[in-house]
Amino acid sequence: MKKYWAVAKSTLEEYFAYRLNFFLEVSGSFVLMLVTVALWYAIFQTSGRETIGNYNLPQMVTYLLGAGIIYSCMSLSGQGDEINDDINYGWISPTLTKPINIPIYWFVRDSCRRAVTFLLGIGIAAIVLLLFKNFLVAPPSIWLALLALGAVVVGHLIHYFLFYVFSIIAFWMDQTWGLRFVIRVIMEIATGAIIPLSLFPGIWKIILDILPFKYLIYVPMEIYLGKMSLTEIGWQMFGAFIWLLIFVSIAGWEWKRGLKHYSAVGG
Amino acid sequence: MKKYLKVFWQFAKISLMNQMAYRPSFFLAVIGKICRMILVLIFFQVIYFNVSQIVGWDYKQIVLLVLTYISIESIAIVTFHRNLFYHFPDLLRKGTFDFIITKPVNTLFYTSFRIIDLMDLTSSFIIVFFWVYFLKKFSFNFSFESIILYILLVANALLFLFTLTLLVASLSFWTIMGTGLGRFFENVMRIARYPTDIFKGVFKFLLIYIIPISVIATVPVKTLLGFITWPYLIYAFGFTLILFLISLKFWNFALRHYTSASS
Repeated sequence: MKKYWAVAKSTLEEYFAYRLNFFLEVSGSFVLMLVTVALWYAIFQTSGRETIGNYNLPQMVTYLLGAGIIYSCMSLSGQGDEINDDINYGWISPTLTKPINIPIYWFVRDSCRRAVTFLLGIGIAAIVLLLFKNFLVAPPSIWLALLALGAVVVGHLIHYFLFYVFSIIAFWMDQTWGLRFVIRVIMEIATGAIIPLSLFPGIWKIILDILPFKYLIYVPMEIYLGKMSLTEIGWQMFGAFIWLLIFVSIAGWEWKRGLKHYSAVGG
Repeated sequence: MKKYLKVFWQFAKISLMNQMAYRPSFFLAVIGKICRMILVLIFFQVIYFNVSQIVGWDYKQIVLLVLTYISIESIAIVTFHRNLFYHFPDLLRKGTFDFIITKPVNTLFYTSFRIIDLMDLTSSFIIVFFWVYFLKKFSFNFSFESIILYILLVANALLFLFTLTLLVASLSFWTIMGTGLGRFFENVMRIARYPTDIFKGVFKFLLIYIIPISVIATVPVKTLLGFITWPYLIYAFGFTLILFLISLKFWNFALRHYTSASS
């Protein structure tokens, strides 16, 4: 355990050296979030309606701000690049001979990246939340808030392993960014980052409900807003764990097969 | 002029060979890019399932806005956008920029169009399809005057984007930095896919006059639809032209500041 703390520490130091770069990337996603809020605000105002879907204006603003903050830690463009490069350029070779579990090593590094992004964004997030404080809706109970927080963590895990599964394909493929790019594009809509998924009609809603993306943003925000009963939350979390289990199993299988296939390019 | 067209053609050919080398990634990237365009349309479609208009824009008009935006964005990305934001700072860092300065072609031209993004070019064919499909479906009635003005405004929008990109890229001479600034800027540009009418107060003023994101898509589309406000159009063209001249001056100034990083 101690050695992974050391990994975490050095990783944090490394990433903080690039703080301006991270900060700009996070700020960019905040700009987009504010514009999305402005759009929905205008939609509410000009339609003259009290509710759209089952959201009133404060609920919608709260949803979008929460979604934007969660999304800002996930939408970083380089997700999975490092794992891909480690494999493709043979950088894992020296590490393989050390008593370090490489998948854990990658996981620690990625968690650090998320933490750095979150910490750098926290200042702007606070200002934005303050700006909209008249619109913010409190969760119905502290327990729901905690549950929502837990769901966010589970969402991050799903997000990590989803990208992980498509990154260590690098054992067999020269480049994997194409795959990850497609996922990133779909993520923008399918997670509910800029529009609550309940506004989708019929067949779309069913498809989005089956896919794992909703657990990243839509489900936690619905829990926070108190739009789900406890039974529903239970079912959603069950679904989330099933997906997580699927991704982790595929990842484990890939890793085992991949190592046999690994040719240590670059020596 | 002929020489530059020839050079441009060579850039495109070499880029295609390069990018096609990894075929699976090439095709996935094209699929991803097409998905992204379709998703913007779906996003608005879903909103219009729930409401009938957004700040006075109906669905037909929003589709025009989205198509205009993705067309302009696509042209920018295929040509200068990535060259100036990502490839150019990279050249500076590695010191290979020296070889470009010594080429017998205009340095700015070479830097801006060196790598033609064929993944984006390939995926942009879908935009042509969208245009044909939606223009047929909605049967708009544009006046001749609006169409001419629209084309001029789209050209103006591209020049505006080029200018902003060049201004930010020129900063790279001083700040050897990564992709963060480019990403930030990209997100700011994306504001243009929504009508700027959604903003109020200070933000509205900011996005119409100071950093006129509205000239990218909102103003061209409104003009096409027949809402022509001459004073603002003159402002839009004038602003872009003046800023363009400033950006050229700034680029040349920055170029003089350049101290090679290679040996």
